[in-house]
Amino acid sequence: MGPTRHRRPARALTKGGYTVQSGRMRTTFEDVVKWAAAALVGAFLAVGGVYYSRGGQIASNKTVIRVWDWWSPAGYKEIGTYFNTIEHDFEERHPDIDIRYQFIPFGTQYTQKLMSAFAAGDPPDAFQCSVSWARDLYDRGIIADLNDFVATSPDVAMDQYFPITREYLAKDGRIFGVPTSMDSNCLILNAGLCRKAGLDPSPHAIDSWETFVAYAEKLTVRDEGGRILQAGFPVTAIAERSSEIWPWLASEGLSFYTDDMMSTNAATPQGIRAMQLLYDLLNVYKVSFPPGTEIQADNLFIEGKVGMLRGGTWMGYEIFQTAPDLDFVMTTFPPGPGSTERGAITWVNMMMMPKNCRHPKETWEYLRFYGGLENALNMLVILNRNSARLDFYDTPEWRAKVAEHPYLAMLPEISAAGRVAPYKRQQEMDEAFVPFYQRAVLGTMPIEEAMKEANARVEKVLEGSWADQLLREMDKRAEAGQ
Amino acid sequence: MSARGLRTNLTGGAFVMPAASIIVVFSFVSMAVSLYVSFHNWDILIPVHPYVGLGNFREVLFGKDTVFWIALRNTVEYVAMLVPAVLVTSFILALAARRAPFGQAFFKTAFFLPSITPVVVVSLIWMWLYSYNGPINAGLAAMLWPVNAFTGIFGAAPIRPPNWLADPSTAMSAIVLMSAWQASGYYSVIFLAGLSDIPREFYEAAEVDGAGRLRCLWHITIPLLRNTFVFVSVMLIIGGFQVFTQVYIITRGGPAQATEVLTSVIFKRAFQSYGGLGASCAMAWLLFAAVFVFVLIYMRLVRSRQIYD
Repeated sequence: MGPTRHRRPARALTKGGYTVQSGRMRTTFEDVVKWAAAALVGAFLAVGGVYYSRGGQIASNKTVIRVWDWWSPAGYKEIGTYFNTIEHDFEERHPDIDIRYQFIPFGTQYTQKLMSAFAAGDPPDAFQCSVSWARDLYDRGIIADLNDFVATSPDVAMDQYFPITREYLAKDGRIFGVPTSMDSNCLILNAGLCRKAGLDPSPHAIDSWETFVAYAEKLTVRDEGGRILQAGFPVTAIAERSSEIWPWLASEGLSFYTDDMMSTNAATPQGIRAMQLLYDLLNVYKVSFPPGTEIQADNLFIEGKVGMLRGGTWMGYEIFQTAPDLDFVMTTFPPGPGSTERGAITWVNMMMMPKNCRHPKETWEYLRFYGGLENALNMLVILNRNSARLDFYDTPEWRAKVAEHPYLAMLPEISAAGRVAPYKRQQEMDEAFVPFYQRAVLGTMPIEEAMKEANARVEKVLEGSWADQLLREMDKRAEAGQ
Repeated sequence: MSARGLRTNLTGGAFVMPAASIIVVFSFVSMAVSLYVSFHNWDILIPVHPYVGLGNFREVLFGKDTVFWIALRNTVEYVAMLVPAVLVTSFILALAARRAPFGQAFFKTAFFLPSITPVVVVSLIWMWLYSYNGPINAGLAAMLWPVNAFTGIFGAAPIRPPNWLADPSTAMSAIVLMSAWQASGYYSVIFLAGLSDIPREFYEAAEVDGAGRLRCLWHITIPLLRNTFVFVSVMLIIGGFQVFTQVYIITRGGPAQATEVLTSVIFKRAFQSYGGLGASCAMAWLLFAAVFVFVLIYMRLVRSRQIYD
């Protein structure tokens, strides 16, 4: 039993217009609890402050490496398993390093937080970076060159990965990223629906745009009122990104950007043909759901309401998680009228290290582990994701996984067929391009005119802003100074 | 000032200080910083910020590919549709709630609920309502069925409901309708407060003189609610110029820039482009100027003449 809970009634005084409570009070049990709580909070804050100021090294002599990622266990618990495995395996080999993950949703939230952290001079030690932002961040001089580290680690040298990865991971021979997984835009067929419609779902059965349109028409199911119940191929008309047109340009033998990355191929005859195909699929053949901001083509495919989808090689894992019985095939896009080769878009996201990383040596060890074969196999076993590593496809683990999930067999072919994704100034480029894409696909502007206007806008973006000119000037000065 | 007075003032000042410092730091200092930034080229990741004077303003207003004018036109269109829609709806709701013979508290709560629901949630619900095969179009299709059945006899193509959010000609109206639905309940409560301030005697005298309900509404209620109308419209104009969340969630400015508003352009320029912070701040100040001028003119035109006190 603590001290009595009764207080002596306080005396009320009127002083200077204010009523003041006064009187002698005894210490009660409540007071003791309050002071103890306050002391606890104070001690907690003090310890926390010291802990933070020492870079998280008070509890042990371990070096803390902060890692940001958008792959989050909040979505799928297997992602948690994946990160736990990395943490366990890595820390077992490096007992002096403590890996701390922070998960941030992909997109604007991630970039805003990242930019704020850089601006505040407190970025994470390592972070996963989308190919959409990586080059622009590197150009701003805030990302560490990894050449010296890579030179001492042949297991993660550039020649260990698919050749296309060099386009994304390095600039003028300076390496700034270690690949995470290999991603491609590809064509995904619902094999069950294809068979039901009397169509061959094998990967190369669709061998031209004409065959593709025929497939899309046969896979489209309407009710008596003409309402589409099952779409042959959904076209995202109210798109936020230019990516709808990329694979169709690839199937015409072109990347979205020109080789010098100063313009697009959207206004070329191939680009206009690709745009015309998208317009026709939506408005002439009517094999897509009507345009709508609420249309989530990926989800509709998983629900079995879509015959063919412009999807990604990463989707296999999501499909197995949500619709394990869905029978599907991943393949490349069929060649267009101006090409004989099949097409896809391939890219790699990457792990990066900031220039002002607090523990570069230890962080490199993490990056090296992340980009190595062992982790690539972890990713395969736990998440069904394929790697950018060439030696990955010779392992028994890969062969076993392909036997378990036959769709994976096509992934090396899709990756190899992939054209380059537009990685420079991608967000700004999309902002400039998309309004004209929407006009073209909705038919409110002639396609050729829309593509020419879009191309002109994108060229202006790719010319670079004042910041790019300034950075070029600073580079020149630095070179001259050296 | 006496010692006691000084002490009283200091005590008062100390109490005000926390709130005042928050306002100063997060409003006035931020505004000053944004004004400073608007005169510079600014990239959050580059330590050098060249001074460009009015360059950002020039670029925003007269640049070849500027979307400022498209966004301004869309924003004004949004405000022009929203203000009358909410004024009329919330006024009618207030009258209905006041005259309801029972359940007034229920109606007031029901009207008010949308305004306390997060805009993101409301936007997602309306996206579904507006979808081409969604409930709104299902209702419209049911209403159009007899017409289509009749015209179908003569081989005419059926009339189809609009694709609200995917058609540039209807997307903005759809967003306005949603915003009006959400805002009306809140403003109806303000109108209710205004209605309760009107002395009962005015209506009794009018009734004695033989005035009907419509005459009372026209000659008593509306004139005496003038101040409330002005307040509500000014708040709506200011809020309307700052519309962002519903546009960002529902259309992201599309289709074909039909719903691109000033705040969405400011956001995109600041956070989705490198080096655009200066131009973004310039645009924010232009938005401030537009709202200020708009409200000033409006206040001049409709300023209350203090009909009664």
